[in-house]
Amino acid sequence: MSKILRKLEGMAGTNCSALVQNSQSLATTFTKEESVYLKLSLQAFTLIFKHADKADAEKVATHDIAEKYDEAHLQLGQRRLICFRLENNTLYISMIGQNQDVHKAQKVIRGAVNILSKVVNAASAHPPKV
Amino acid sequence: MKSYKVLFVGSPGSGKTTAIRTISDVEVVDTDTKVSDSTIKRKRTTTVGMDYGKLSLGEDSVLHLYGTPGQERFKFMWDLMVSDLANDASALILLIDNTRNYPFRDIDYYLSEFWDYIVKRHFIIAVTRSDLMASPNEADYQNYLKDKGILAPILFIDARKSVDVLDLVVSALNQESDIDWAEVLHRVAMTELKNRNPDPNSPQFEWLRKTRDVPKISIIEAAMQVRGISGATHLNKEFNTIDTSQEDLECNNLFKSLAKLAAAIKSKAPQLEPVRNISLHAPRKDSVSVFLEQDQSLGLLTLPALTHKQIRQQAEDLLQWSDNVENTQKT
Ligand SMILES: Nc1nc2c(ncn2[C@@H]2O[C@H](COP(=O)(O)OP(=O)(O)OP(=O)(O)O)[C@@H](O)[C@H]2O)c(=O)[nH]1
Ligand SMILES: [Mg+2]
Repeated sequence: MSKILRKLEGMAGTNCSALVQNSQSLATTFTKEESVYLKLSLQAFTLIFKHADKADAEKVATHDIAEKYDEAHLQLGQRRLICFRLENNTLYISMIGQNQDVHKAQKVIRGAVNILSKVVNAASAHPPKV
Repeated sequence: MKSYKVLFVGSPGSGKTTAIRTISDVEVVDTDTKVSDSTIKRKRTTTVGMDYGKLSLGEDSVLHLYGTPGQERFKFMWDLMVSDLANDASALILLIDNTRNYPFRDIDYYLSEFWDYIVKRHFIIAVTRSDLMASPNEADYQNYLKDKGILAPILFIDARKSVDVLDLVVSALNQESDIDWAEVLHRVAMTELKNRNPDPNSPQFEWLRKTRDVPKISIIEAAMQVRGISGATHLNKEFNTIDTSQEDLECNNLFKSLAKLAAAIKSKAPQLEPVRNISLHAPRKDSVSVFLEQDQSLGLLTLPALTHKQIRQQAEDLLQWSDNVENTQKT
């Protein structure tokens, strides 16, 4: 699965990425040194989406039920972590450096969301043997 | 005829146009127009093309002065000038406006934008407007550069004073021994004296009138003048609202939660760089973004069409100029 991630990173211009389901990493290309960012951002993104959903829930009374926020960013210094919410409690988190094109990364990853979901579903249907 | 060139760069309002006009022999090419987007402590005119001036350095040598437009939306001009017009310049002078909220960040920014250019040329930092804001002071700047491992002269100047600007130029061309600086200084000072009492019908007078200071508006008013921003809230250090475009803005609570979360991350992982921005997006929803500084944060609600970069540029600019922050911190 990390092969798919590598390919997506190449197209999106991101440094590394990970697929995380129910806080369990399914696949990751974060190196050992970078994993602190994955761990921290995973917790942060979970809370960020929680806050977002809560804010949306308070709005529902006055608005049509709108779509949820499915993309969140966290910028730490010059480092940016981008997170997409997929189906089934799955998050796709990627990290992008200072001089990379964020807009391109957003577009490429958004375009790949369906494929990522499929990959995750296929993987959870046939869990890899250990 | 020997000719020298120097290039002035720096944030909008740092005094590039002023500095070049102050010492130029010729009428400066005027590409300044009224500022149409957000203005806070900012002035009303900005350079949209480039600045150009010329100063005779004696019988057979001349100095060409080039200035970039400060605003990032004219960045294509920077590339053009660096690669073409000012490619053979012998020095780059970076003007830093000491009244900006985070002047050191400007140093970082221009260092990274012009790095390739700087390494091959003389590099000088000139701090302007320190009469309006005394800190950071010279020692603060020196320490900052030392920490970054950068060797560059730092001069505190008033860009409106010809003697100050000339000092800069002398420093930029210090390897040139055959220039009679005393003569140049005398000439420049005489011109300045003449210009001090301008004829009300002269172009100088028109220019002085045009660049007078303007009334302040709040960071929120400025934000709401930007196309694509539909809501804005300015929070203080304690995450209380300083000002908002709308008291009952639905995302106000979300802004606060996100700002608090950022602070929590910082205290949990102090070894990492601080959180500068958190944002939320969806294809057909307004984006919610919070931009954080040590002493303030800004929440913005923006149309989905606005790119992340556009939002960030606006926010960083607004935070640099916001006038409700205590200016105690140094970066
Ligand atoms: N008080 C004070 N004012 C200054 C000083 N230096 C420049 N100014 C004023 O600050 C303003 C600077 O404006 P400009 O010279 O147009 O700035 P610029 O760098 O060309 O700006 P852009 O063209 O927008 O990039 C002018 O009103 C100057 O009179 C200074 O040292 N002290
Ligand atoms: Mg100018």
